Amino acid sequence: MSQKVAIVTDSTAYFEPGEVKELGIHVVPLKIRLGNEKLLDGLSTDTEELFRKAGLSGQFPISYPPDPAEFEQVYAEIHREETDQILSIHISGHLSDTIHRARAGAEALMGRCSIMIVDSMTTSVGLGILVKAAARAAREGASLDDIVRLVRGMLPHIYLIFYVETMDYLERSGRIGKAQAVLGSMLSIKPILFMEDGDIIPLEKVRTTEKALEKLFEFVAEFDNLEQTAIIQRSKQPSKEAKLLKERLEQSFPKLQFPIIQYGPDLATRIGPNAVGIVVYEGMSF
Amino acid sequence: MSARHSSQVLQVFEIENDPVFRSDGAELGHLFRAGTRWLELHVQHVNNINVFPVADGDTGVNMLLTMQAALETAEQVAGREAGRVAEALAQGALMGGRGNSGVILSQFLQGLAAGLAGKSAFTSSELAAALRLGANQAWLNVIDPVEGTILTVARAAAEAAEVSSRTEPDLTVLWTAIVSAMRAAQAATPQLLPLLRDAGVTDSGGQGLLYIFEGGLRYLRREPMDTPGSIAVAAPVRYPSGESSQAYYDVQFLIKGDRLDLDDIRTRLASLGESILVVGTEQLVRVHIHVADPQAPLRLGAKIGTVSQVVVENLTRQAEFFSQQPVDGPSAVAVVAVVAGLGFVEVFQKECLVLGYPVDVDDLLRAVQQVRANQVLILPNDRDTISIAQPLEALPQKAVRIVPTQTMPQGIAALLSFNERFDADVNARRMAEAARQVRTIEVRDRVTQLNGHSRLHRDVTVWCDGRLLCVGSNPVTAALEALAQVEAENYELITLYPGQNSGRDLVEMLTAEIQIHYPDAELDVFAGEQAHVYFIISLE
Repeated sequence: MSQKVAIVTDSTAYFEPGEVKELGIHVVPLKIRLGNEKLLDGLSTDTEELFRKAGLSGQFPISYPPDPAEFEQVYAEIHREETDQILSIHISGHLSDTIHRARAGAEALMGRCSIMIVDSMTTSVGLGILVKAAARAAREGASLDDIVRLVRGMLPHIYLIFYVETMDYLERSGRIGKAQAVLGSMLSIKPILFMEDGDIIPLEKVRTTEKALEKLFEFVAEFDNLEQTAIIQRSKQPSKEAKLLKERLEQSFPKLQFPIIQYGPDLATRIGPNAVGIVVYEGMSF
Repeated sequence: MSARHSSQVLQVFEIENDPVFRSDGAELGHLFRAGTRWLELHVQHVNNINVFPVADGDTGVNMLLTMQAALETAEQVAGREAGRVAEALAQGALMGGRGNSGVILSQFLQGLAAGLAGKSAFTSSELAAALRLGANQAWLNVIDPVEGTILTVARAAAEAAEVSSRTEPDLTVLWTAIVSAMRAAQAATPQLLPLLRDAGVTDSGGQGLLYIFEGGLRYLRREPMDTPGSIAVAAPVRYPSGESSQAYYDVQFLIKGDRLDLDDIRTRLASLGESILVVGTEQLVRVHIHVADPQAPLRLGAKIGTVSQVVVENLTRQAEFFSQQPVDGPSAVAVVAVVAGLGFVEVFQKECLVLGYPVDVDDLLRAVQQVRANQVLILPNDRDTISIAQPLEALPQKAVRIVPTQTMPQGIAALLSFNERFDADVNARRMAEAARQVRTIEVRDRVTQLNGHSRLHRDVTVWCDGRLLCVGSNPVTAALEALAQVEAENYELITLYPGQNSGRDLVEMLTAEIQIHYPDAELDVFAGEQAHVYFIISLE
């Protein structure tokens, strides 16, 4: 009856190795520019390597959205080879222009394909959770409308809270008004930030790692129903801070898993290399 | 002589519409009191049309606070000599002047006082001459005077008074002519200042001055002062908030000194910022400036004299807030912080209205009235200041909460946990909790009596969270002893705030010692530049 739905996302979405292939997800990469060097987010670099290079060159890495043509190409290929039902889910429009590029790319196929573009209001692990849920529903034969409804229903239940060692990256990316910037950087201060409606907003600030981790823990502890969580940090190997947070959470929630994962280069260009955070997907009670 | 005049003033009250040819200081006071009342009734209108020089929506409040300070001082004048009342009005406005428009207003009053100096009463033509001096003084003290502002409206008042007083000795007739000329000048401000025309408003400072004179006229005509009348209150002017623009601060302070050179101060400030006003005498100067780096003018002031009455306000934040929020909406929460030490000002300036230590209850009251929020949190950062602030919690107009911070590090910890999305009560609780988690060690100068003279001695006292911990002779040794006593090895972060007179050697010595004794703790050093406290050390 209705055709299978293809799922498209961008490289800011976090997946475990093999998941993309297994679920048949199409990923359009963002670009990272470091000085004269152009890198593909998630493909030709990882966060640690990027910041090692950035440190050596003294340059700030900057993220760029894909071109509309790249989206058009992916959509056209799907149309040619798979289906004319496409759901494209992307990083928050407050953080990146990617979603607008996707819309522009989809315009070329208007009338030939049904392409729905959804702003995930988040990125990284949260975006990955949404995309995987969509892909699984698609595999089970759900219609485009049903999958969109599913994803929209999940959106408000995904949270991201983190602290950063410096506001430089957030200020640089222009996502936070200058007046919001906190207390300058003359004192060592760790702002705690929160993703709300797709935007990063400052919550409060602390001065020690211990307090910062305590705030993250308190945030998680307020949920009655934790479906899925992930601790995010910069390196492949878990950092001391991430391990402390994990231990603390496992003590209080012995039945739950708190995997530690490395956040991607794109997010790293926005929040800097030294953030520690936690993604929470709150179970939905229907 | 004064008996004759008081009987004449009494006539004003007894026999209405009788021509008044000479008025005394009491009458002058009544005129400005009525004017202030009328301004107060229309303060929102003045705020809402504020676009120049910075659209921060506070012209009305600033002018009102300035007039209130002027009247307060005038009330203390014994007798009713016009010259002395005018002088007190000017002095009060100078000391309490707020904002750009407030300081210009104080200059206008200064000129008026100069014109009435030595006079026990004044005629219409004497008043006209004094108004002329007022308008000139205001114009001369603005570094870069612009037409289409309060300056233009003040000059219109003076010109009308001069013309009218040639033929009209009666004060009410004169004042009527003044007000109608001011109204015309006010209506014409958009033609002179394109910024106003583009925003579709008239000048806010000019409007404020007009309200003051209209109030005076209503008093003379015995018209009611309790309703705002038929003046429509314009909606606040919205303008694009400049996200990319640098933060900008309104900085005000007094310099006390000896043979202060106003022109020299003006010249040196001119390279630092805009909207510069430098007014006062050789002994006492009030400075007002809009600047990106508040430290620069404050340091300049500290170099040439003693700086006091410091007020630092983040204009960018206020303007952004003004462009987003309903005016004085219930959601608005602001923080007022009392700060000792120039270095600490920098920590607080972005998020707070900063007042320089020490403050009295009036300073705090003015600050609370000035901030554009109806919920205000106060960070006293000092034990005595907590008690001084206490009465403000009973203010009927605004919900004031005092976060009982006793030290600067407690204040910083409290500020860090401030979140403008919560109301004052929730914030006060969270901030107090954050403050409690910080330990503060203060190594203070000990003032000892030697040969009957109070002088600074190289003795120090060491305090921990307000408790005397030990006494010593060397600040570094004393600090280390205190750190050992409170078991600093159990803390993650040690922050050292050297004072104004700590000296680089002592700071380096202490820094090195702390790193040796507490290698696991992170050490942060930040110049607080506080007076009389060698070192403030916080442990977290």
